[in-house]
Amino acid sequence: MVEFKILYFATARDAALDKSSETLEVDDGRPATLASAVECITAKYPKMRAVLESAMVALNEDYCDKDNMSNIKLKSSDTVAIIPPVSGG
Amino acid sequence: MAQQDTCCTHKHPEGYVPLHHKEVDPAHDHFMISGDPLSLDQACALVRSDEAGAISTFEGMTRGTFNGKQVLRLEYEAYDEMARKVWYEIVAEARNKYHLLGTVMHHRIGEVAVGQTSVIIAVASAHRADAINAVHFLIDSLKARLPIWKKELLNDGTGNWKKNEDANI
Repeated sequence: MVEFKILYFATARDAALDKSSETLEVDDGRPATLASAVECITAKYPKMRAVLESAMVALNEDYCDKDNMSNIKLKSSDTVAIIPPVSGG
Repeated sequence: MAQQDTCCTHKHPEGYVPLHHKEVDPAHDHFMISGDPLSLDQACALVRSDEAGAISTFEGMTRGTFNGKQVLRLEYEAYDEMARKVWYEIVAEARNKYHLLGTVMHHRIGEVAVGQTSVIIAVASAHRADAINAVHFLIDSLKARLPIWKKELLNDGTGNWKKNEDANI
Protein backbone atom coordinates (compact mmCIF):
# COMPACT_ATOMS: atom_id res chain seq x y z
CA MET A 1 0.00 0.00 0.00
CA VAL A 2 1.30 3.44 -0.91
CA GLU A 3 -0.02 6.59 0.71
CA PHE A 4 0.51 9.77 -1.26
CA LYS A 5 -0.40 13.41 -0.92
CA ILE A 6 -2.38 14.98 -3.73
CA LEU A 7 -2.77 18.71 -4.42
CA TYR A 8 -5.59 20.21 -6.49
CA PHE A 9 -5.44 23.69 -7.98
CA ALA A 10 -7.91 25.89 -9.89
CA THR A 11 -10.26 23.74 -12.04
CA ALA A 12 -8.85 20.59 -10.44
CA ARG A 13 -9.92 21.85 -7.02
CA ASP A 14 -13.41 22.55 -8.40
CA ALA A 15 -13.53 18.95 -9.68
CA ALA A 16 -12.35 17.68 -6.28
CA LEU A 17 -15.39 19.27 -4.62
CA ASP A 18 -13.36 22.29 -3.47
CA LYS A 19 -10.74 20.22 -1.70
CA SER A 20 -7.22 21.62 -2.13
CA SER A 21 -5.32 18.60 -0.81
CA GLU A 22 -5.77 15.18 0.73
CA THR A 23 -3.95 11.92 1.36
CA LEU A 24 -5.00 8.93 -0.73
CA GLU A 25 -3.95 5.29 -0.86
CA VAL A 26 -3.12 3.07 -3.79
CA ASP A 27 -3.54 -0.57 -2.91
CA ASP A 28 -4.45 -2.62 -5.95
CA GLY A 29 -1.85 -5.34 -5.48
CA ARG A 30 0.41 -4.01 -8.20
CA PRO A 31 3.46 -1.78 -7.74
CA ALA A 32 2.12 1.72 -7.34
CA THR A 33 2.77 4.14 -10.19
CA LEU A 34 1.77 7.68 -11.05
CA ALA A 35 -0.81 6.17 -13.41
CA SER A 36 -2.44 4.22 -10.56
CA ALA A 37 -2.48 7.39 -8.45
CA VAL A 38 -4.29 9.26 -11.23
CA GLU A 39 -6.76 6.36 -11.65
CA CYS A 40 -7.45 6.54 -7.94
CA ILE A 41 -8.18 10.27 -8.24
CA THR A 42 -10.47 9.97 -11.27
CA ALA A 43 -12.36 7.10 -9.63
CA LYS A 44 -13.06 9.33 -6.67
CA TYR A 45 -13.82 12.47 -8.71
CA PRO A 46 -15.22 11.60 -12.17
CA LYS A 47 -15.13 15.27 -13.22
CA MET A 48 -11.33 15.14 -12.92
CA ARG A 49 -11.18 13.21 -16.23
CA ALA A 50 -12.14 16.32 -18.19
CA VAL A 51 -9.67 18.43 -16.20
CA LEU A 52 -6.87 15.97 -16.93
CA GLU A 53 -7.38 16.32 -20.67
CA SER A 54 -5.63 19.70 -20.51
CA ALA A 55 -3.85 19.51 -17.13
CA MET A 56 -0.27 18.52 -16.42
CA VAL A 57 0.68 16.17 -13.61
CA ALA A 58 3.57 16.96 -11.27
CA LEU A 59 5.37 14.56 -8.97
CA ASN A 60 7.32 16.13 -6.11
CA GLU A 61 7.20 19.53 -7.81
CA ASP A 62 8.43 18.37 -11.22
CA TYR A 63 6.28 18.14 -14.34
CA CYS A 64 5.87 14.56 -15.56
CA ASP A 65 5.40 13.06 -19.00
CA LYS A 66 1.71 12.16 -19.02
CA ASP A 67 2.27 9.42 -21.60
CA ASN A 68 4.77 7.70 -19.35
CA MET A 69 2.92 7.71 -16.03
CA SER A 70 2.65 3.92 -15.84
CA ASN A 71 6.46 3.76 -15.73
CA ILE A 72 6.86 6.31 -12.94
CA LYS A 73 6.96 4.56 -9.56
CA LEU A 74 5.10 6.03 -6.65
CA LYS A 75 6.35 5.74 -3.09
CA SER A 76 4.86 6.70 0.25
CA SER A 77 5.15 10.40 1.08
CA ASP A 78 5.30 11.39 -2.60
CA THR A 79 3.36 14.53 -3.52
CA VAL A 80 1.30 14.45 -6.71
CA ALA A 81 -0.27 17.63 -8.08
CA ILE A 82 -2.81 18.25 -10.82
CA ILE A 83 -1.65 21.36 -12.71
CA PRO A 84 -4.36 22.83 -14.95
CA PRO A 85 -3.22 25.30 -17.65
CA VAL A 86 -1.49 28.11 -15.79
CA SER A 87 -2.61 31.74 -15.80
CA GLY A 88 -0.13 33.71 -13.74
CA GLY A 89 0.78 37.29 -14.48
CA MET B 1 28.86 35.76 -25.86
CA ALA B 2 26.14 35.71 -28.51
CA GLN B 3 23.01 37.51 -27.44
CA GLN B 4 19.56 36.55 -28.61
CA ASP B 5 17.28 39.55 -28.52
CA THR B 6 13.68 38.53 -28.10
CA CYS B 7 11.85 41.82 -28.03
CA CYS B 8 13.92 44.69 -29.35
CA THR B 9 16.93 45.65 -31.38
CA HIS B 10 18.96 47.46 -28.75
CA LYS B 11 22.62 46.68 -29.33
CA HIS B 12 25.43 46.65 -26.86
CA PRO B 13 27.82 49.60 -27.00
CA GLU B 14 31.24 49.41 -28.67
CA GLY B 15 33.84 47.67 -26.56
CA TYR B 16 31.19 46.13 -24.33
CA VAL B 17 32.65 44.08 -21.51
CA PRO B 18 30.02 41.92 -19.84
CA LEU B 19 29.58 42.61 -16.16
CA HIS B 20 27.17 40.12 -14.70
CA HIS B 21 26.56 37.18 -12.40
CA LYS B 22 26.34 33.79 -14.14
CA GLU B 23 24.70 31.81 -11.34
CA VAL B 24 21.31 32.19 -9.71
CA ASP B 25 22.08 33.54 -6.26
CA PRO B 26 19.72 34.72 -3.49
CA ALA B 27 21.92 37.80 -3.07
CA HIS B 28 20.96 38.95 -6.60
CA ASP B 29 17.81 37.03 -7.55
CA HIS B 30 14.63 37.70 -5.62
CA PHE B 31 11.39 35.73 -5.75
CA MET B 32 8.29 36.29 -3.67
CA ILE B 33 4.70 35.13 -3.69
CA SER B 34 2.72 37.32 -1.34
CA GLY B 35 -0.82 38.06 -0.27
CA ASP B 36 0.16 41.68 0.39
CA PRO B 37 0.27 44.58 -2.11
CA LEU B 38 3.42 44.73 -4.24
CA SER B 39 5.74 47.72 -4.53
CA LEU B 40 7.68 48.64 -7.65
CA ASP B 41 9.96 50.87 -5.56
CA GLN B 42 10.83 48.00 -3.24
CA ALA B 43 11.48 45.70 -6.20
CA CYS B 44 13.84 48.22 -7.81
CA ALA B 45 15.64 48.80 -4.51
CA LEU B 46 16.46 45.08 -4.37
CA VAL B 47 18.47 45.24 -7.61
CA ARG B 48 19.87 48.77 -7.46
CA SER B 49 23.68 48.78 -7.30
CA ASP B 50 26.67 50.86 -8.34
CA GLU B 51 27.46 48.31 -11.07
CA ALA B 52 24.06 48.72 -12.73
CA GLY B 53 23.53 51.18 -15.56
CA ALA B 54 19.94 50.15 -16.15
CA ILE B 55 16.90 48.83 -14.34
CA SER B 56 14.02 47.72 -16.54
CA THR B 57 10.64 46.79 -15.07
CA PHE B 58 7.29 45.28 -15.90
CA GLU B 59 4.18 45.69 -13.79
CA GLY B 60 1.01 43.70 -14.50
CA MET B 61 -2.34 44.74 -13.06
CA THR B 62 -5.99 43.76 -13.01
CA ARG B 63 -7.78 45.20 -16.03
CA GLY B 64 -11.30 46.55 -15.50
CA THR B 65 -12.91 44.87 -18.51
CA PHE B 66 -12.77 41.56 -20.36
CA ASN B 67 -14.43 41.36 -23.78
CA GLY B 68 -16.69 44.23 -22.86
CA LYS B 69 -17.71 42.76 -19.49
CA GLN B 70 -16.90 44.52 -16.24
CA VAL B 71 -14.32 42.77 -14.08
CA LEU B 72 -14.71 43.01 -10.30
CA ARG B 73 -11.42 41.41 -9.29
CA LEU B 74 -9.01 38.56 -9.92
CA GLU B 75 -8.32 35.79 -7.43
CA TYR B 76 -4.88 34.18 -7.64
CA GLU B 77 -3.53 31.00 -6.17
CA ALA B 78 -0.09 29.40 -6.43
CA TYR B 79 1.68 26.11 -5.90
CA ASP B 80 4.36 27.85 -3.86
CA GLU B 81 7.02 25.15 -3.60
CA MET B 82 6.87 24.26 -7.27
CA ALA B 83 6.67 27.91 -8.33
CA ARG B 84 9.98 28.55 -6.58
CA LYS B 85 11.55 25.60 -8.37
CA VAL B 86 10.26 26.73 -11.78
CA TRP B 87 11.31 30.33 -11.03
CA TYR B 88 14.86 29.10 -10.36
CA GLU B 89 14.96 27.31 -13.73
CA ILE B 90 13.62 30.38 -15.55
CA VAL B 91 16.15 32.73 -13.93
CA ALA B 92 18.99 30.28 -14.67
CA GLU B 93 17.92 30.37 -18.34
CA ALA B 94 17.71 34.19 -18.29
CA ARG B 95 21.20 34.44 -16.80
CA ASN B 96 22.45 32.17 -19.56
CA LYS B 97 20.85 34.30 -22.28
CA TYR B 98 21.60 37.81 -20.95
CA HIS B 99 24.23 39.60 -18.90
CA LEU B 100 22.32 40.32 -15.72
CA LEU B 101 23.21 41.80 -12.37
CA GLY B 102 19.96 41.45 -10.41
CA THR B 103 16.44 40.10 -10.98
CA VAL B 104 13.15 40.39 -9.14
CA MET B 105 9.98 38.37 -9.70
CA HIS B 106 7.17 39.23 -7.29
CA HIS B 107 3.68 37.77 -7.66
CA ARG B 108 0.66 38.57 -5.59
CA ILE B 109 -1.92 35.92 -4.66
CA GLY B 110 -5.40 36.14 -3.19
CA GLU B 111 -7.77 38.90 -4.28
CA VAL B 112 -6.34 41.58 -6.57
CA ALA B 113 -8.79 44.42 -7.26
CA VAL B 114 -9.05 46.31 -10.55
CA GLY B 115 -6.07 48.64 -10.93
CA GLN B 116 -3.94 46.80 -8.39
CA THR B 117 -0.65 45.14 -9.26
CA SER B 118 -0.49 41.36 -9.53
CA VAL B 119 3.06 40.91 -10.80
CA ILE B 120 6.35 42.83 -10.89
CA ILE B 121 9.50 42.02 -12.82
CA ALA B 122 12.61 44.14 -12.32
CA VAL B 123 16.00 43.49 -13.88
CA ALA B 124 19.29 45.34 -13.43
CA SER B 125 22.14 45.15 -15.92
CA ALA B 126 25.20 47.16 -16.87
CA HIS B 127 23.62 48.21 -20.18
CA ARG B 128 19.96 48.55 -21.11
CA ALA B 129 19.65 45.86 -23.82
CA ASP B 130 20.12 43.01 -21.36
CA ALA B 131 17.66 44.39 -18.80
CA ILE B 132 14.96 45.22 -21.36
CA ASN B 133 15.18 41.85 -23.12
CA ALA B 134 15.39 39.88 -19.89
CA VAL B 135 12.21 41.54 -18.55
CA HIS B 136 10.36 40.37 -21.67
CA PHE B 137 11.79 36.86 -21.35
CA LEU B 138 10.99 36.64 -17.62
CA ILE B 139 7.36 37.78 -17.86
CA ASP B 140 6.67 35.53 -20.88
CA SER B 141 8.28 32.57 -19.11
CA LEU B 142 6.32 33.29 -15.94
CA LYS B 143 3.04 33.37 -17.86
CA ALA B 144 3.84 30.14 -19.70
CA ARG B 145 5.33 28.06 -16.91
CA LEU B 146 4.88 29.27 -13.33
CA PRO B 147 2.20 27.21 -11.52
CA ILE B 148 -0.05 30.14 -10.64
CA TRP B 149 -3.72 30.48 -11.54
CA LYS B 150 -6.21 33.32 -11.65
CA LYS B 151 -9.97 33.36 -11.54
CA GLU B 152 -11.71 36.35 -13.06
CA LEU B 153 -14.81 37.50 -11.20
CA LEU B 154 -17.22 39.51 -13.35
CA ASN B 155 -19.99 41.84 -12.24
CA ASP B 156 -22.60 39.54 -13.79
CA GLY B 157 -21.86 37.10 -10.96
CA THR B 158 -19.84 34.64 -13.02
CA GLY B 159 -16.26 33.59 -12.42
CA ASN B 160 -13.85 31.85 -14.77
CA TRP B 161 -10.44 30.27 -14.34
CA LYS B 162 -8.21 31.91 -16.92
CA LYS B 163 -5.75 30.16 -19.19
CA ASN B 164 -2.69 31.93 -20.59
CA GLU B 165 -1.96 31.65 -24.27
CA ASP B 166 1.27 29.80 -24.94
CA ALA B 167 3.99 32.39 -24.87
CA ASN B 168 5.94 30.29 -27.36
CA ILE B 169 9.40 31.00 -26.00
